Amino acid sequence: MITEAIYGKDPITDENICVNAVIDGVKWSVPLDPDNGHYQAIQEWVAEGNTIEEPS
Amino acid sequence: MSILTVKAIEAPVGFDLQMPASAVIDGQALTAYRSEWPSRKNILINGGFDVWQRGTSGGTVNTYLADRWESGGGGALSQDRQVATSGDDFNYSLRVQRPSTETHGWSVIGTTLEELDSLPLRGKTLTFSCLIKVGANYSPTSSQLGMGIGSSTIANRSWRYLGNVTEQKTVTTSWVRYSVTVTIPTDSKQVGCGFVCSPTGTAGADDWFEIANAQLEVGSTATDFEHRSYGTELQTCERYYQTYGMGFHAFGITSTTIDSQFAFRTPMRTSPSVTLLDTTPTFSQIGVATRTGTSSSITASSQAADGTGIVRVDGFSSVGTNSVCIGYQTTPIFGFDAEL
Repeated sequence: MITEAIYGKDPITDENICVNAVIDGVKWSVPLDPDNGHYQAIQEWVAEGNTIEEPS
Repeated sequence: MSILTVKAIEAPVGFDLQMPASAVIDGQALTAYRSEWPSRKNILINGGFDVWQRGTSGGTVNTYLADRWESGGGGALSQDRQVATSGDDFNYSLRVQRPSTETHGWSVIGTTLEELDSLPLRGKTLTFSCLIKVGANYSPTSSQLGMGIGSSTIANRSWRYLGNVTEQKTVTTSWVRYSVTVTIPTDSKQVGCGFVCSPTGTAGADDWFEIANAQLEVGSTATDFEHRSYGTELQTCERYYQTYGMGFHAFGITSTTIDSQFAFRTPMRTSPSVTLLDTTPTFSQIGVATRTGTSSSITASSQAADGTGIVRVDGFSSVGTNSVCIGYQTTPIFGFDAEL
């Protein structure tokens, strides 16, 4: 279960390079890679109507 | 005594050669395995439960504890490594337990093969075998445990997406080897196998099942478990998970942040996720001092299957800007995960 998802920025280019997410109670930094299992879970979570937040 | 060299065993025209093939020559029983699986009869990774990079106790629902084995279920469960007793044909087994007083209905444990390892199995008959025993309070009706081989036309998904049960086994409190045999559909892109337990009532103190020496092999019969060396198995597991604590390159970026970089020991299946396993990680700022974080977290990362660009961690103080650092603790700081 995903309880938090926030983009992480490349510190040089300021582009989104990962999603810092809490998945099943564990904090993961997840690459934007469709073959990554955590990223697949995040995409399903987004498809359910949730949103990945931009960092503050 | 003479030496007999057999170069090939062929089936009669119109018949498939069943593997493993057996023959008796001068009273000596011989067994031949498929030539395309010459050194890896057991298709599973960590079927012997030798590798435990995440720890040996405290596993919960929807997590990995033993490498490559993922749990799931409808409520709380625990996973723990059990040490074999003298006479067992293995070092460790995996225990999956419903905690005492728990009332939930089901739990699963299973393992899957990635697409590259699954595609060669299309259309083949596979046999999954495993040693199983249960606790004195094992609660499912008729002491049954579901055991199965699953497949999917979608590749590279968690075991929880294809946990097919093909047979119910009546299990006991003693180690017994059970098996199931399935032919994989020709359009499959992923194969996995595992167990589904359906407890009843309120859990007692020993409502658990244990598995050891799990094997998936080509053919319609279960053969002896194939033991592999720990080093071979660990390296294979590292394609899906690996940890680092000591000696990797890092750089002080600001007084509070350190960037770490890795060239992975083993290239991973895909770009891995990374987690901070210790929120008070210790680095050495070379020639200056050790730097230990407080309530540290990963703020950004970029990684590929063979290494990382950045794993930026905050929570430090007094780190030299643009200083050279290394990871400096014997316990893991980072866990990289490329599981399915």
